[in-house]
Amino acid sequence: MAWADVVFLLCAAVMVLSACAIVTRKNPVYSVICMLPFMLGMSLLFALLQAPFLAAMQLMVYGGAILVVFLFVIMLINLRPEELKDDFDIFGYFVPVLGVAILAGLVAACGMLDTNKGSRLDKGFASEVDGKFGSIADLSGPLFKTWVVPFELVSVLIVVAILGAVVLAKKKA
Amino acid sequence: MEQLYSLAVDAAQSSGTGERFVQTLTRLLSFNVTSCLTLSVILFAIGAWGVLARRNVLVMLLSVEMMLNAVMLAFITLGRAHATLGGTTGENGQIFALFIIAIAAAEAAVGLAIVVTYFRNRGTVDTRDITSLRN
Amino acid sequence: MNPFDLLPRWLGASDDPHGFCADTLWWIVLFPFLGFLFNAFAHKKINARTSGFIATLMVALSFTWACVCFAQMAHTDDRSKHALNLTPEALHGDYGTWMNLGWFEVRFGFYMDQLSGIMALVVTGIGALIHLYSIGYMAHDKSPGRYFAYLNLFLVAMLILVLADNLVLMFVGWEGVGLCSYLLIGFWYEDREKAEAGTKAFLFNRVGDLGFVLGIFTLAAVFGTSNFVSPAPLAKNVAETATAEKKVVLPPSPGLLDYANGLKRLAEKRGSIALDFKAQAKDGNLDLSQHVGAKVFPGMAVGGAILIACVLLFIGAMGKSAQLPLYAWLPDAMAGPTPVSALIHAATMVTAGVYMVCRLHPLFSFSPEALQLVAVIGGATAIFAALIGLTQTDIKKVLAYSTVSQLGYMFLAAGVGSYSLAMFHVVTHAFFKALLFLGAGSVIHALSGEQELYRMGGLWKKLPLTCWTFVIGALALSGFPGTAGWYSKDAIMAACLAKAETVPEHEKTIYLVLYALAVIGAFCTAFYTFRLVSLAFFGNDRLTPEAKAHLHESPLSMTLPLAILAVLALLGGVLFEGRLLPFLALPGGPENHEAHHLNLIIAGVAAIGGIALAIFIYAVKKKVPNIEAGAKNPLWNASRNQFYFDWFYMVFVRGAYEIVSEVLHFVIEVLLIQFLIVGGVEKLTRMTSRGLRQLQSGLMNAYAAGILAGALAILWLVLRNR
Repeated sequence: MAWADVVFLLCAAVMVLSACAIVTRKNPVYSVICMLPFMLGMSLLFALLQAPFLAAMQLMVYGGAILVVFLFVIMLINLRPEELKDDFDIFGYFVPVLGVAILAGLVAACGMLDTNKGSRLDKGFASEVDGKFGSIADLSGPLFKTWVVPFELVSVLIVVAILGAVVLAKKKA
Repeated sequence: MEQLYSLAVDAAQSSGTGERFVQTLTRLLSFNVTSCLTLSVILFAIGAWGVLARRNVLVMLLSVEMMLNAVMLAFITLGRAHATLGGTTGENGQIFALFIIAIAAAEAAVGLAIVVTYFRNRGTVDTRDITSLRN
Repeated sequence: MNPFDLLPRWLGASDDPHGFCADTLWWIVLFPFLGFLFNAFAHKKINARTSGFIATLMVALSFTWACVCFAQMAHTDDRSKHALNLTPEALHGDYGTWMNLGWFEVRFGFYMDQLSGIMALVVTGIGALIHLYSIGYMAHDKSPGRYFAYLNLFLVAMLILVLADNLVLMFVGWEGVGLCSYLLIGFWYEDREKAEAGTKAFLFNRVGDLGFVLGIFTLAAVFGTSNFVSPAPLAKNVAETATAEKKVVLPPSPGLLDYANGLKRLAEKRGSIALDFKAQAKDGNLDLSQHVGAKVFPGMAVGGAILIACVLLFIGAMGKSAQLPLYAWLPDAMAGPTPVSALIHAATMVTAGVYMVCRLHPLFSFSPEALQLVAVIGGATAIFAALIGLTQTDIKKVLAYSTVSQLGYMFLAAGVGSYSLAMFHVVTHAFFKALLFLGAGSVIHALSGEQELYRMGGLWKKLPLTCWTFVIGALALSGFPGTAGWYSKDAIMAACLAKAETVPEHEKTIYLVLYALAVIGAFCTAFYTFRLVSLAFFGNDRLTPEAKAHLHESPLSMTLPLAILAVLALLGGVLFEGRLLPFLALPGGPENHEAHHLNLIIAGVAAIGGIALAIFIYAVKKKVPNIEAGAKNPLWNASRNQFYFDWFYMVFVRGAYEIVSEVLHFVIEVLLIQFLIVGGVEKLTRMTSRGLRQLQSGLMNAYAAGILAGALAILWLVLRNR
């Protein structure tokens, strides 16, 4: 449908622009601020791709938690303006070329994906799914049946990460 | 978009490679698997560039988060592409994306803790000065 | 009564004593091997008497079992000479396959027929006597256990050589005796000269071994086997039918001797045949066209290939038995203990070459040119060594050159076709030469290590037993009528003369010349032997005071073997000649010929004349060899220095070797290894590490770039085939 294309293009533009902004700002606070539209765009895209739960999760976790933590740490580091020197060293000249090359290659690869009429990937978004697809009820089925072990392991991982972070960042009293 | 495409074809009267280029471009500019994956790749590349070219550790971490997000997009796209009525293959992409969120969060937490500690001990977060592993 | 009834029934001995002996032939080798192991592992903990006793006991057991097997083989003797010259009563024990290449198979097998039986008895018998002697001789040495271990090991190797049923196993023994010779010559290795003498012996042997191995290869290529005889029992009627028609039939899986005999018979039946492979018809005639040899030697006659093989094998015999170009190790080998010289370099190892030629006599007979070579080299060696012996003053060196000379006589006998006389001389020579060496050892022991003749003299009063047994041995060596040596040496010269009479005109001169040389050699032998006897035992007393102080007759363990050997040397000829020679069933026995009578006179005159002259000069007129005076005489000098042969080897061969090794050292060691490889590796490592060190920059960004690059590489690898 046409409006899907428009929304997609809009989101894509926003995300790409904010991504470029993130990696080029000298002031790290600006980078974090630019992350916000990025997350918003991503969330919208998720919604477009019929993953509403994940869209909400993205906003809450990334936008609400991770970016905030980043901001806290940046505040802690407390760089003064004169310490924000020119950020680009030798890698700044060599790597962009590399990056562009990678980009071009990958885009070309994508362009050559087997998406002519009739292949499965082409039909991808046109396939019918019921309204429950991507909802919490729908996701929770596989999550707690097929993927219960990784689920539990991830919760263990989070506990470990919390403990690790606390231990690492403790001031030596 | 397709109407515009046919219009463009009639107008341009091109053939061969030109036609294929236009076709690819048209695909990329509409909403389908190819374009979503391309977007994911672009974001990944930008994030990679950010990791490599920035000297501030915090910005590097942020770029890593961006890369993870790009990958999440790819997963969800392909999950949706494989979705059928009544099956559960499509959900797998989203479930994995969920896991990625969780893991990214944990990694961000630990990474930031390390940065804080390092800053406390060395007083800098500039990678050019973090050279105790040299040689 | 069958003595095997005494053994337990389950051994199955009394049912089939012949087969039992064949299966247990290896016990002859086992006993000395056990002695070797015992002495090798226990030699630090036991004293000289025990180790000597054990070693001697083992050899005695080996001799006993050899006698048993010999008796078993001999008593079913059936004297009919049939076409293929094999003996149905021979003991042939087969002990499994060693290597099997399809077309060429080598098995472990021992074969005792008359030839190897006699050799085995001589080896173990004289070996036992020498072991007994060694107990006394080495009583005060500091490592007798090692000595007896080596001595037993030598017997193991020699017995393997003698009893082997194929050339490859014989070569194992061949090499083994070479090794033990090296070990024993260089026994007192702290003295550098002695160690070098051992090395010299081993190297000369090695040169000969090369020829031997190439000979084996040639025979294997031509005939596809290295066995002497067929392992299958021979069917007699096969031989009889063969004479009737113009066919020659071979036993299944024939050995080398079967082939040689078969070829000879074919040649006799058809007159002279062009023995290329195409000339053979199939249907039972001797057909080699399917053999490996046809592909290896295309167009060459079988005769030519056999000639090459025989010459190569004889080169091996030249090295082992110290014939002319390769003799120089034997005089230096006197650096070893005297019993070693007696056993190895008089009685057993050096006769291995003669044994090999006699074992392969059908092959040698098939190629007359090879036989001529054998005869010529033998004769030349005989006279050459005899001339050198005239001027030597070390008691052991005189005996060494006399050994070389007598070996020349043995090869001369083989070369004129009298193999049985060659073997007879082996046996008698073993008796009297061992006696002489042991006697010399007794003298040296009595004089506390003195070996030079001009410091001996007048010993006949103090060492009577040694002296008179030594005289008996000397008489035997000189060929005094009635002694064993006379029977064998005389017959050899007669055979040479007889051969000179039977060959066509153009070949006569060679054999006449050889005969003349043999007679002159006999004269010289008698002369220098009694020169030795007179200077050592009679004449004026020239002993040094220290030697005189400790002068004593040797203990019983040393004099008993001397006595036994003296009896054998004296009466051996009389006792054995009539029985041994027909028993050996080798061609060429002594013939009653006019040549024989003529030779009787000539040889007798030579021997007695030499003895008389020597006794007159050295015992009656009591002349002493004067080295300074002799050095002015060029002939004397040449003789004393072995006609400069050894000098030639030392300067040219060893010099060339040293030059080559210096050059190689410089090129390979200095240039290549030190400079290029070691230095180069060092520089390479430095450069690489300097380059690689840049990677470890410590920059996180660089590391991240590396990670990315790696990930991309993997991605490319995975996706590139899609």
